[in-house]
Amino acid sequence: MRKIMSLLPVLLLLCTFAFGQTRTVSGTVKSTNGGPIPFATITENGTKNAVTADANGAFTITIKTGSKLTISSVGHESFVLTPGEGVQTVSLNTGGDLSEVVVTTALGVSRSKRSLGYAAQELKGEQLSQTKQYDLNTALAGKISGIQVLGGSGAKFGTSTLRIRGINSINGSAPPIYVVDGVITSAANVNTDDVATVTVLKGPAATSLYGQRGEQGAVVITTKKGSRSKGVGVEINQSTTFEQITGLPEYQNEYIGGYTQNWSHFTYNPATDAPALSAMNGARYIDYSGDESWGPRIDGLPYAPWYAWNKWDPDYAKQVPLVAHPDNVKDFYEIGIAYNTNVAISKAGDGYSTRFSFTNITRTGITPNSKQNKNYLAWNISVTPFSKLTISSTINASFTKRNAVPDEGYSQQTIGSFNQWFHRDIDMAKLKNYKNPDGTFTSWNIGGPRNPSPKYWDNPYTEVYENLNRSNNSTLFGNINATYSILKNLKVGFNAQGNYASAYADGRVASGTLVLANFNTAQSRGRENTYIWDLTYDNKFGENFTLKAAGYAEMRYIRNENINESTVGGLTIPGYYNIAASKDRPTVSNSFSEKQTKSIYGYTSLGYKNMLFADLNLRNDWSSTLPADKNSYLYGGISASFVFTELLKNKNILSFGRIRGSAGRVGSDTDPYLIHQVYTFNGFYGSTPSMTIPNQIPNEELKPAISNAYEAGVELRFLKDRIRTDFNYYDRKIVDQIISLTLPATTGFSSALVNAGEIRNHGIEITLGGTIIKNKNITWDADFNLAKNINEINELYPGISNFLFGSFGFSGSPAITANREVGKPFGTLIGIGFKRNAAGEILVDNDGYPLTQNNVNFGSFLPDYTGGFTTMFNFKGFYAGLSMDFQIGGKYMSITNMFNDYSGLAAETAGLNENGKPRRDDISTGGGTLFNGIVESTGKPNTTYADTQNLYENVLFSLWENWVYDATFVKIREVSIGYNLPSKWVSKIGGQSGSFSIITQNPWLIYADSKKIDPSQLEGTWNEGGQLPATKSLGFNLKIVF
Amino acid sequence: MKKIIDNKYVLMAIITIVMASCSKIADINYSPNSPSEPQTALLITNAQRQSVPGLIGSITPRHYVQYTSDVIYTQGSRYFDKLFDYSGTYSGPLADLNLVIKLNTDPETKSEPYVLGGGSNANQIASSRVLRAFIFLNATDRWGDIPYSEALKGEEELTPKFDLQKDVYNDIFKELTEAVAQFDAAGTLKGDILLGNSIPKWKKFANTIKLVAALHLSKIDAALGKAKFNEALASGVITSNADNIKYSYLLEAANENPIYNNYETAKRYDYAVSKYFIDTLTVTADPRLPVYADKTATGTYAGMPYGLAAGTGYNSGTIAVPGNVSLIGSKFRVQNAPTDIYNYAGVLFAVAEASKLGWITGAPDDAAAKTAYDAGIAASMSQHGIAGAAATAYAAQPSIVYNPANAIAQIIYQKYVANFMCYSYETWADWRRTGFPVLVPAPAAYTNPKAIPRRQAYNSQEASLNTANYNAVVASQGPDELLTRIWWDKP
Repeated sequence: MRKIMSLLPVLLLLCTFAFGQTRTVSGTVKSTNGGPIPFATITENGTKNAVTADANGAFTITIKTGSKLTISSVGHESFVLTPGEGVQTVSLNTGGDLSEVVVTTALGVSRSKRSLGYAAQELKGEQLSQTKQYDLNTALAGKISGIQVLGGSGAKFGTSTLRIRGINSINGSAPPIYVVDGVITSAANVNTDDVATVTVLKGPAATSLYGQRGEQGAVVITTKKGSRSKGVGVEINQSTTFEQITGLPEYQNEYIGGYTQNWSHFTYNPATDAPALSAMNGARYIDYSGDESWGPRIDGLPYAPWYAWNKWDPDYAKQVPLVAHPDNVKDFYEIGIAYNTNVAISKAGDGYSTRFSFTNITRTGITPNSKQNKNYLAWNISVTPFSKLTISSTINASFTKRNAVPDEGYSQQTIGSFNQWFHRDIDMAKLKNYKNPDGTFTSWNIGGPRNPSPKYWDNPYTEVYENLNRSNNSTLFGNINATYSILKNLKVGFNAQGNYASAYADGRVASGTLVLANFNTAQSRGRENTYIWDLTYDNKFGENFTLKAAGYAEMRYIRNENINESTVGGLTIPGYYNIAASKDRPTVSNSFSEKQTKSIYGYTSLGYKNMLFADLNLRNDWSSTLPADKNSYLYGGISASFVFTELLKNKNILSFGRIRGSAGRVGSDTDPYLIHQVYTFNGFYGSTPSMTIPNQIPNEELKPAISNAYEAGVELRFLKDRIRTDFNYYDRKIVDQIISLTLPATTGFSSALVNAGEIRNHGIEITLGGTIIKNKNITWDADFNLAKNINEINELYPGISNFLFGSFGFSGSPAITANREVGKPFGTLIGIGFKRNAAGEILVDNDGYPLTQNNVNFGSFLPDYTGGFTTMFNFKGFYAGLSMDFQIGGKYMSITNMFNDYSGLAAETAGLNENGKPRRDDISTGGGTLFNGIVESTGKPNTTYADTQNLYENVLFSLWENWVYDATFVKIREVSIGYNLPSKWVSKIGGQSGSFSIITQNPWLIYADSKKIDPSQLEGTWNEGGQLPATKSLGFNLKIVF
Repeated sequence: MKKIIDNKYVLMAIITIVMASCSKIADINYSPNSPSEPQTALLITNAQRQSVPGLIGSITPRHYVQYTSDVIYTQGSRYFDKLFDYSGTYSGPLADLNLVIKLNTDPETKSEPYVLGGGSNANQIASSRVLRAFIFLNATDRWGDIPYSEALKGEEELTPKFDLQKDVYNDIFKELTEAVAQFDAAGTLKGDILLGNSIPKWKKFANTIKLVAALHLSKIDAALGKAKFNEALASGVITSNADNIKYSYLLEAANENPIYNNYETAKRYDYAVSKYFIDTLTVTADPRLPVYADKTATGTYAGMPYGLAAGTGYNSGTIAVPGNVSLIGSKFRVQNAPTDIYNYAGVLFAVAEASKLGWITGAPDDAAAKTAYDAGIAASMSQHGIAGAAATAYAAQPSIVYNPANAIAQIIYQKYVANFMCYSYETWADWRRTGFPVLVPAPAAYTNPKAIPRRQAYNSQEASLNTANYNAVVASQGPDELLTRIWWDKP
């Protein structure tokens, strides 16, 4: 230690010594594509004098007059500069030594990738924004190993989440944190256009510096910074994409609405019926109130459709030929259009750099009237008032306005229900007339000829144009960072971060529609402030040793405020959508919650000869959400990395190789207000208030949860890095989790908050990449990744071997459940299945219907394998990119499919049976459906036809095994084809460079078990019902840099 | 070196400061969103509001006994529902009632203002015990053996066993007897939305529950039933229509009558009066029919055939535009229409049956039975505003006049008609116990063989979370199916 300290004054001396015949050179290091290269090394040739450029590539170095500079940066070819006058701009070609790749690790610390003891995969902004994917999580799909993107339908403008390395909590999966320039925010606030790099940190060894919040992994994002440029520094990016639905089920078009094939005939009653209806005497009509399609066969003959009974309709009291409307569902949906415009201004000079970006994304959805308008503002500034002090700040704002975004789910009105409850003979054009002149509403599902008002379902157009919902979200987040170099190798810093969000949403059920009119609003405000003090030491000792160490003290405060209000009992003034209109006492609730954590933490990283690295980090947290005597917890990680190829002389074949290993532990707390007993206010009986004891037993003895993880990996590159592989093994165990233990309700409670359980995830992650072609004109890269995760619940709670994660069923009949069972993977689906013989064949009864048995295990909803493939091809100015992703294994249950069949909408419920007879005909005349199986009583294959409607409505209904599908899928997520515009074209409009590309998202779901459902967009975790249709999009992008 | 040590001190100082402030951060973890003190008056209100309407307003037993039938979606009247869930009752109202009892018993809390705000300790405890007994009686009559002695103990007993129905009955009798004795006439009671904080009414309610429960034992343990029946009578049951125990719904959406909710709020019109009920009242020209049912579009009374595979051809219409089957009468479907739990007529018919069984005088007493039977009919007529002449004419019909040879069938039939749209789990219990009225099971029943349910199955949580006890109760009680008979249900 004495020796180290003695070096300091020497170095300081060197600095001052150099004055005399010196000059100062400042400049910016950029890549050939114009973006800044952060942290390049600038060395005065022939000396040890060197500086590191800042995050924006800016540097200032004092050298002897006449000296040359060598500029080097990882992943780039070095460049020797003879400094001229003024500010220097150095452009480095990509390439060079890949082994010096720098990645952003926890707390935004840039680290040479070779020094890391854990897997960290980084993507550049361009890899994300290639197809202008707005959703950050979706943009990561297929590109990072070990992650699973849980998507949502494009009809909702994208709402996906990430699951990293399986489910790490007995409570279920939780999303990772998203850290933008050090500030924790949500994925929705990230504008992919502003992203410079994304690093996904997957295990405690990588994330423990983030503390408990990094427990589920961290997606670390750095945003683009200002840089010096030849031109004015303005970049304009515009894309327009068109979105349409994909993957509707195959419908039958032979039978219309109703429960039976029998017609009803209208008998005109002059005493009570309107005179016009005399024309309808004897007309055929169906049971319109039935919301299924088991009705009469389509025969082209006249019949009375629903609108024939609506006196306002132009076709009132007219019969029309009964014809099929095969595209009626498709006709409802529109082409969604998205305009994405991004303008970025970037500037840097002596002692400052700044970037300002504005993005507007205006989208219309595939369901009529749905809109989203999103604006992002991002501002980055870095100022160095004098050489020892750097002050930088990032401010991001996002504003989102949404209108009439459809809901999905089994019980939602209309939208998403076309596949569950509908008539196949509906002409969508007629439904567009959703409101009558007298203010009443039309519907396909009416009470009957004499009662043409909606029965169970409103018109889907009523739903989208009258039952409106809208929301408005604003988020502002950013930080201010000051770093002061006390000594050459010692910096002190202060960082203040804030994340402020406010949201407003309201929804209504319009007056006069089927359901009681309602208006509800929700408002929320959240703030999170973090203050971090740090001390960083970074030095090199002799030729061989490097040491980096830092200590931090942090204070974080989180506060959330919510107000929810809803009218009750209808509206006093029809059409007055305001809480004041509530007929009964409106329900109003507000909540306030706050949480504070304090932490001290630090790390040291020691390197030897750029070959051997060892890291240690430690962190202690104090959380307000835990009992006072148990709120302090210490954890950390150690890791090591060994670049063994440094010992090789010949690197022609194996150009790079290293092994790495790490062990990490992370502790975590819980949400506010869970440990002390309180009581719940539970509404009024008239003016009498009521209160109840909550269903969860609190716990004043709660301890922090501890998670341990180990991982080891090897990274190899061959043939001058043309072939790149990485293999990683991890093993993570979480003990003493804070779980909400499900109790039998007969205990008087439905759950208890306890420390219990042990859950383990272990698996492998493999990435394989290569540069297939690389020459002057062509480069072709391809990357493949694959991950396998094995999840197992080892322990729950003494005396408890299983508890439910979720269940779905209809009142009174056994549900299908997702279970957490000891000795099994998380989320095994259990429910009524087919009865099978010893050979596994389905058994049927003498009438040809399948037999059932209870408690059949269908397997877990977690996938066995996840992975993806990306490729990028460049030929002169042209480029093309593609990304695919896949999942193998995992189960889900589809309520949509069940009702698609139950309601007689699906193609398989109609058509001809195995005998060539209509399968909806009576079984006595050769109709019916043959259910394949073995007759239990005879042991022979089944030859008895089952009544088709009875089979689907009664026998297969709630027979869960029939509706459980494999979630395996393979899909192409993104394809882009582009051309870098020749500079002579671009220069005509004053630009420096430009590109044009054609982009498509979700073009092809190559494989899925049930073609009706896209398993990558499941509405729920393990099941879906009334899922909105999947979408695909096609568009173009134009980018000009001025 | 010295400098490093200095830094260490600085670091130590920082750590000390941080840590010192850290023990205090737990202070902000008290929720401002929920009350921290339990107000027993509010717990009582909640327990009543969350239990009674659900038990007495359920459509399921009304379907079982064919008061009503589904019109379009007929699964409910075809016994499709097998599993019924008592989870919310245990973790909701029963947990609240136990807390009220505990707070009023524990010396540390019983004198706290938030406890005494609910009235005297004795009255709070006694009324909670009575309501708890009522809820448990409902549960055991539906499922048979239920978690009882080990239930509601929180973390002390994570897997409560199922007690034999017999033991549950014995404890319910004990609880009711003790509760009646415990009421403190001088003390008050607060938050009682069910009986208006009236101690005399609570005593009558308790005794009536006991009377009803005693009669359930007519086949399995007549001796015990007889003893408890007489105890209840002696202690004082309902003695007039003014005494009727009913739950009052209010003119507000949060507390509205469930039929109003189905008809007018949700506009579903799922239910109509069943064909059996309308036909049988039509045959006897029952003057209560216009009270019980609406006319159809053609101006007649027509019931919905019970338990068809699909309601094709039938149309419940709406109140404004009637269909071709009769809706439930307006007296039972307006927003604040109350629902009787126990009414005077029902008690009189219970007395009539007990007299006939010889429970009251020790030998079958047709004279006493007839008196009570006639009084029961009169009480029901008067309850529904049927004037003297119409009532007398009805009662004078040969098929209605008390007939010792057919007395039980007559008594139960009259009880059935009098209790239309009342607490129908009780009507279903009478049907299971006596076989009256004679009902034809749903033609499209899901049960195999097609028969009217005799119990309800446990929720699936019991099988998955309380497996060992669940398996034990299935082994001792019989299959967890709708057609398994419970202890007191003997052929």
